[in-house]
Amino acid sequence: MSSHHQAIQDKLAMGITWSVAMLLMSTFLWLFSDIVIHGISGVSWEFLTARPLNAGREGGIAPILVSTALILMVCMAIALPIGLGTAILLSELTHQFGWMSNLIRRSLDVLAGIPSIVFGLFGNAFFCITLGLGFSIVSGGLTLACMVLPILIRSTEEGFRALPADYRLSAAALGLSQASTLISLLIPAAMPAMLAGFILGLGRAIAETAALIFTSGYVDRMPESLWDSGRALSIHIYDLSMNVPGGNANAYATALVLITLLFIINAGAQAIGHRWSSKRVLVA
Amino acid sequence: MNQPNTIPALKPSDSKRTPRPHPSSEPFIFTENLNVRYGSQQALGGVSLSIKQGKITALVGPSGSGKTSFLTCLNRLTDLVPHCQVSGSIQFGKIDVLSPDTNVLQLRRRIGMIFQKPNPFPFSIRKNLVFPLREHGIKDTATIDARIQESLTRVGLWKEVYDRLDSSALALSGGQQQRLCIARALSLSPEVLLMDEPCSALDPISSGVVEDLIASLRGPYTIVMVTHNLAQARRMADHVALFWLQHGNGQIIESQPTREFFHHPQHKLTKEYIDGVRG
Repeated sequence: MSSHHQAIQDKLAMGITWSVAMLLMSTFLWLFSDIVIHGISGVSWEFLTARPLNAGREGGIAPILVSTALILMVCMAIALPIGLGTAILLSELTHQFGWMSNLIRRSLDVLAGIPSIVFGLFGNAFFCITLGLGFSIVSGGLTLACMVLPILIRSTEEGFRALPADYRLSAAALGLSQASTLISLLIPAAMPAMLAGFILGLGRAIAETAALIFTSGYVDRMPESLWDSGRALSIHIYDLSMNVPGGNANAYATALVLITLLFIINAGAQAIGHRWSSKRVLVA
Repeated sequence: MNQPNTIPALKPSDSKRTPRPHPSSEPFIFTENLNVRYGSQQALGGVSLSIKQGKITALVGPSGSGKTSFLTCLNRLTDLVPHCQVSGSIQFGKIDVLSPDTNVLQLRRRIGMIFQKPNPFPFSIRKNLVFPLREHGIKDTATIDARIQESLTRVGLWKEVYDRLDSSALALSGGQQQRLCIARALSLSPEVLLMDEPCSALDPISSGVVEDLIASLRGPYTIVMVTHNLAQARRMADHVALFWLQHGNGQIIESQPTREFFHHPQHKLTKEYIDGVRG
């Protein structure tokens, strides 16, 4: 093949790669700029701190922010310990629990693929009705926990697996027990991966709608306890844009707040991860 | 506490911890008919070897002949390998190493190990040393500090790092990292050091430094070292054992004092291996 031909092929390949990337970027930019353009005028300190009025057409989103935060807290308080424990079982103790870890891993893959509305219905049937928790922040948080567990566990497990086998061998060769190796060496070393999993999970949870509609409900009052129903940000957006004529302006403003939160969470995760890898000393 | 398998724990009060040399000719570690299988794959078949106290024993032979498998049996690191079965007997002093009653954590405290690739933990230099000491029950800060200085001095690293003990161990050069790993093992006052090609991942200058260090540990410590470098075995070892893959599993072909091994090999394969014809 002549070098002329090769040059054309190279240019073509380059062009296709670029245009695909640009297409992706522009979709995101279009979405993002649409939200910013329509939402920016609605966001103010007042908007963040006031109650919604007139079904959300007017007023702010203070109770919704509080409910979202509480739902996420319940979700992570339950999901983090279970996730960490399962990830440790899957990555460090497989040799003791061979068949069981296979079963767990399969179940997690299936769980990860289940649509969130199914989690919502399950949460309604199990947490709200069977356990009698009703439409409440606790029910919503528990349902979300079931949903983010697969992500949390898989990324934490990958974090443990990515650690050099040397760590385990050299710790064992020094006569260190498996428990202290885990606590003092492996868990701190896998922390960035755990954090990444936590952020991914948080990102999925904060943007969730279907799993929450039937569990935490859509009462837009300020929750007085975890047993109250509370409306999450995504549900507020859904409700304003679908059920409330004239609610679009505040839906846009709420969407902007949600997207900003996602940005902050991601940037925070990156900053922490970067700090960790640049220092290279986990615990001084 | 007088069972034969009870291994004395490390006591903070052991002020002079360097094991006293016992220049006896009695074997210190004695393996008999040692077999190792990984699932259905036999790695080591019927290996018997005696290792003398305070001496350097070199294990040589081609790759895959079972040298590392042999080494990891001695501190029961084979326990960590799924589907690995070890049979036969290993006697270490009065301890039956393979007995299920043996306290492996204490055993590994007494039999330290250095790997081919330096493997410091992703901690500061200080914490690399503090962590194992604390785990073995030494909590007193003054004792710990003394041990850190003592073991780093022993490996010639103290002068190089005393002013940056709190910086990452991973920032050290390869040779320094390997010496830190040796210091980490020494800080637990072991009696035996197992070394799996300790110089082969290092540049020639660092390798020379580490080799000199290992030679200087002869006497107080009993050293069992896997090496692919025959010249190194000849320079350093008191005793050499040649491993060879025969009938599908690793066996010892010949085990001799270094001089005899190189000058009067008994086995045809040994001679060919020394001459570079085989292996």
